[in-house]
Amino acid sequence: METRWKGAASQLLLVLAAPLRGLLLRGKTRWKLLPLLFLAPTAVFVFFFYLLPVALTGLISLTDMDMRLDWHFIGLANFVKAIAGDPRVPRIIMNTVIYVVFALILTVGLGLAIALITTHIREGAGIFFRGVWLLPNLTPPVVYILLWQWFFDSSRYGFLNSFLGLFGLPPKAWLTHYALPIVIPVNAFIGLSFCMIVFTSAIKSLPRSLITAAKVDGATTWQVCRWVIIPLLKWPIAFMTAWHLIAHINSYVYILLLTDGGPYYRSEVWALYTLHRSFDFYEFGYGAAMAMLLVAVTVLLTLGIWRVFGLGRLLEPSKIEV
Amino acid sequence: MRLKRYLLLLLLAGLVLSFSFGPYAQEEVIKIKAWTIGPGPMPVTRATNLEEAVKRLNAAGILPQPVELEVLFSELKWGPFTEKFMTACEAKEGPHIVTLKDIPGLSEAGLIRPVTDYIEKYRETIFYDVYESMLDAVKYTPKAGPYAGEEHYWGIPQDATPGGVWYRKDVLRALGYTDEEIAEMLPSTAEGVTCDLLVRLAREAKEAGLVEWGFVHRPSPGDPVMAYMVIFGGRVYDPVEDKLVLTKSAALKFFQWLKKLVDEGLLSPAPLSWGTLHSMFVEGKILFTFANHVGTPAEWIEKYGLREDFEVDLGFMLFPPCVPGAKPISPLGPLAYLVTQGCVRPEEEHPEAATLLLLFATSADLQARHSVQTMRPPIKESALYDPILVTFPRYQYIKTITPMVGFAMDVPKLPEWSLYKKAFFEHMKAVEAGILTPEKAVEELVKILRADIPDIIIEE
Repeated sequence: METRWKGAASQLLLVLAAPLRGLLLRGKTRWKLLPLLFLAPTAVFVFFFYLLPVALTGLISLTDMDMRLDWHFIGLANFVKAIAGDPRVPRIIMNTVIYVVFALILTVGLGLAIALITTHIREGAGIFFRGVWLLPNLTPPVVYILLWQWFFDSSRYGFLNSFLGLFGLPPKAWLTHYALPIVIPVNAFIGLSFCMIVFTSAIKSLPRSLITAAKVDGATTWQVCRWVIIPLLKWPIAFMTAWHLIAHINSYVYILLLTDGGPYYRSEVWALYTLHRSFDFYEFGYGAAMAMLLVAVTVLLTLGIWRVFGLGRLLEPSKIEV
Repeated sequence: MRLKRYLLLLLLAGLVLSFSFGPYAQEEVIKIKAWTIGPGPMPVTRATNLEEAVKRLNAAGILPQPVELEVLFSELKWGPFTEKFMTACEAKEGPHIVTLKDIPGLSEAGLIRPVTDYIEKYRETIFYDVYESMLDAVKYTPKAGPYAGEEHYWGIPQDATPGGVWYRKDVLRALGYTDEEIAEMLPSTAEGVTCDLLVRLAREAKEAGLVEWGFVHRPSPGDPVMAYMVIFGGRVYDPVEDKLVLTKSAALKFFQWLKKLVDEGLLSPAPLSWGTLHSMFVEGKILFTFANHVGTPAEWIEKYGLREDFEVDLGFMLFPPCVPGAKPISPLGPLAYLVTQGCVRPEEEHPEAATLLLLFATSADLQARHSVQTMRPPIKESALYDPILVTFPRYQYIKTITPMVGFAMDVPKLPEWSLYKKAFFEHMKAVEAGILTPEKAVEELVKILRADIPDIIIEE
């Protein structure tokens, strides 16, 4: 009985799938439809979770939607306010530029430095130090930030202040006076560990013969790094720079947890300000306009990086026959 | 085969039963959802009183069907709770009753319905002794929405939290002041008290090593912003224009006062968190707190180990005047039960049942229970004479603070008030942290308020 059902079901499926099968396998059409079919699941995902939210955000940015979720079409008024009518914006742009530039230098630069150092020391020690540097990425954000809060706590019980206390120095309100210089490394350490892993694996996959040849020619360790390894890491460095540029422009979680953008907008970056306007002030329309501007800036910068590093070449087919 | 037939019959019978009795059974009870908020743990009676009220409503048999209540008591902060309410309303999964403060915003959004008819109808029987200030607090004329231009009562008053200054009598005693001198120097009405006096006492306590901080204020924006402006000779609202106001001179004097306190080490340059602030005050390491209200001792006893007879060591007074000519003030901090509109599917709307339930929750004994739990004044006078409250060990305290409900001042009922509070608080923090000078802070505050609230009145 069961076999009979199964047989009937298979027959039905074959009949239903026949036209599709014909389309897929017929001559040139096959080559047009088959890739589309393979791309379809990802395309659907990208459409619903990337393109549609951007489109909806774009629509909301043209309205005055507020806490009541009630809205009226107001054209570009939110964009005009963001560019010319909000006295906080110049400060926030400046913070964002400083934050992104320095966080990027730290993330990629320090990530590369750690990868170079840990691949040039004893293997066990290298693994240990890479493990230690992975901790910020492995620790839940709230726990990670709690540790930093304790480290910079303004009371005499804070780690840094208790250390100063040993020398008779008074406690200092670190997060009040150095908010931006503190949030930069705190956030950069997260991306740094990712860079470190990528660079380490890239270094380890370099042909040993090149390094050995350089050493035979009398190159020092520094010269090997500077003239052999780093040039060969061009693509990983370019990719990590582009990746973290986008990541830092859009990052806000760790800043939110550590300083919440304060004091007095001293560590408020664009992405966090977008969040604040949307969910603290319930100005969803204005928040969406800020988000759209951020999307536009991110796209432009990504295209710029793409051109500067010639990242298109990364996507070209390999010239080596496999 | 026979077994199959029986099973089929049983299935059919079940289907018939569910179709015939199912909808009827659903109509047998009126389901009401109520969402209440603390945000702290103390005002849980906001929820339990509704549970008691529903029993009484059902026993009274006023409605043809019994009411089934599902009540939530949330300890979320106001922002997330409001977001939760808004999104639930949008999905028609919201409550029939909610406790929120933003009557202007909610009424203009058409999310709450007026209860004027009920308050008028039961004025002689239920609302006859509800303090007029509490009823005024729920009265509003929306500028937009389905009831634009109509003045209505938008909720049933639930409680009030008149704010003011708590201080440590034991610290003052340690400085050599007698109880009589303290009572004379810092009366609860703040008559004759000046901010200069508070600063002098804080300085003495600090120099004697008795306290770590002379003063603390809320670590977040709140209604005391209105008090700060008033005690420094300014105002935040123009009733004629119905607009928010910033008095620059008052803001400047207040910011200068804050800077002076920070410079003298009497105020922390960064606001203390709620937990730190509560525990330090209870431990006697802070002399004056501007952060709390008359009911806060209930939370201090429950969570921070304050002694039950707290009046021995703690004193309370209104915010005292800080410039000549200013008057003492207490922000009222009212809260009401609001009956929602459009937050559930149309067939699930039961405004009549929800409002009647709230009328039962306004009874004197339930109000008394709320006062006992929270040490907040009851919103109606008869609750003061209810045996539940009369036999409460802290009855005398409740009796002393209750008149404040009559003269405490409500905050401006304008949707932009929250923007005003946030902007003002940001600049307070900036002055305290030394990021802005008082003069620069006023200048920046004016710019930001003009951007956020274009029709605000800025006066010298």
